[in-house]
Amino acid sequence: MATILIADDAAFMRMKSAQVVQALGHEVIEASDGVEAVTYFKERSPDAVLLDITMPNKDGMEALREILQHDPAAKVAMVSAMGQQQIVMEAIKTGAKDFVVKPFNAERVQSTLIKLVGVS
Amino acid sequence: MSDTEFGPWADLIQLGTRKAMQGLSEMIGADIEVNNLSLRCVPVTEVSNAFGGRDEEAVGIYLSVSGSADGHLMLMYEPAIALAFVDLLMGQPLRTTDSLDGMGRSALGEMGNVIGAFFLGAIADATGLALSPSPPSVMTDMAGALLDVVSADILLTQDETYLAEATFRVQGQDVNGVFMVMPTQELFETIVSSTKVA
Repeated sequence: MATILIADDAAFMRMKSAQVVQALGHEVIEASDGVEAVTYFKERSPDAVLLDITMPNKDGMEALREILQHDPAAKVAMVSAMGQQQIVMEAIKTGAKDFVVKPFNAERVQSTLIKLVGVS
Repeated sequence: MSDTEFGPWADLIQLGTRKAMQGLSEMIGADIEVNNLSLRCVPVTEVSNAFGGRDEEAVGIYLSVSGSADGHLMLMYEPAIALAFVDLLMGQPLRTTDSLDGMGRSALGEMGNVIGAFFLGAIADATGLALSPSPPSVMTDMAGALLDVVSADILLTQDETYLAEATFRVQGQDVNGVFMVMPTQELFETIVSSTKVA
C-alpha cells in the first residue's frame, strides 16, 4: 500500500480522486491548497502526489518546485484543466512525472498511479 | 449586429457549446444534447429578465473570461435541476441531494470549470485567441440579482450585449437551464475580427 497526497482546492475533486486511490488500496492524504500540499509532503513523505495546477495561496507549479527542492525524486503528477497545456509542459520540464487532464476520469487517474507507484 | 458579424459569432458559439456539452457528458458519464440554442442582441438592462423573471430563485455558476479580451459565462438552473446535477456528478440516484451543501457547491463549481474550459478552448482553437476562464463562483439567489452581477460590469462600457442561451437534454429529459455567453463589446469584436483572419 502506498500513501498518496491529493492536493486540490475543490472538495469534489479531492473526494473523487480519493475514491479512486482508495479503491486501489492506497492511503490518502488531502491538501486543499499549495501551502498545505508542501507542508504535508515534508511532514508525511507520501509515495506520490496528485497536484492540481490552479490552487489558492500557492499554485501547483510553485508547490511542485518546493516539493522537488525538498525531494528531487518526488513522484508528482499534475492535474490540469483544458487550456493549461503550456503549464503542463513547464511542469514536466521541472520534474513532474505525469499529468491528468480534467474532467475527472477514473481510468486515467488509475493508470497515472500505477505509473507512479506501481501495481496496487 | 450585421449578418457578416452574426454568422461567424453564431458558428463559434455553436461550436463552443457543443464542446462544452461534450465536456459535461464526459464528466457525468451521460449523453447530453443541446436542445435549443438562441443568439440575440439585447439591451444590457434586460439581461436580468433572461431566466424567466427576476424573482425566480436560481442557482448560478459564474465564470469571467480573460485573455485576448474579457467576457462572462453564466450557467443558471432552477434549484431542483442544480440538485439533480449534483446527484449526477456524485454518481448517486437522482433526488438524493435535497439541499446545496459545500460538497454540492464544489461539484457544481467543477462542472462550471469543465464547461468553461471546453467552451473557451474550442473558441480559442478556432480563432487563435488566448481565452481563459476564472475560477467558478456558485451562487444561489433571485435570478435578477445573479444576472445583475454580470450586467453591471457590461453596462460600464456598452448599452447592448450579445446573449447566447442554450437548453439541454440529459438522459432523455429536458433540462430547464440556461447557458449564457455575454461578451463585452471588446471580446465580441476581437472574436469576430479573428474569424476574418483565421
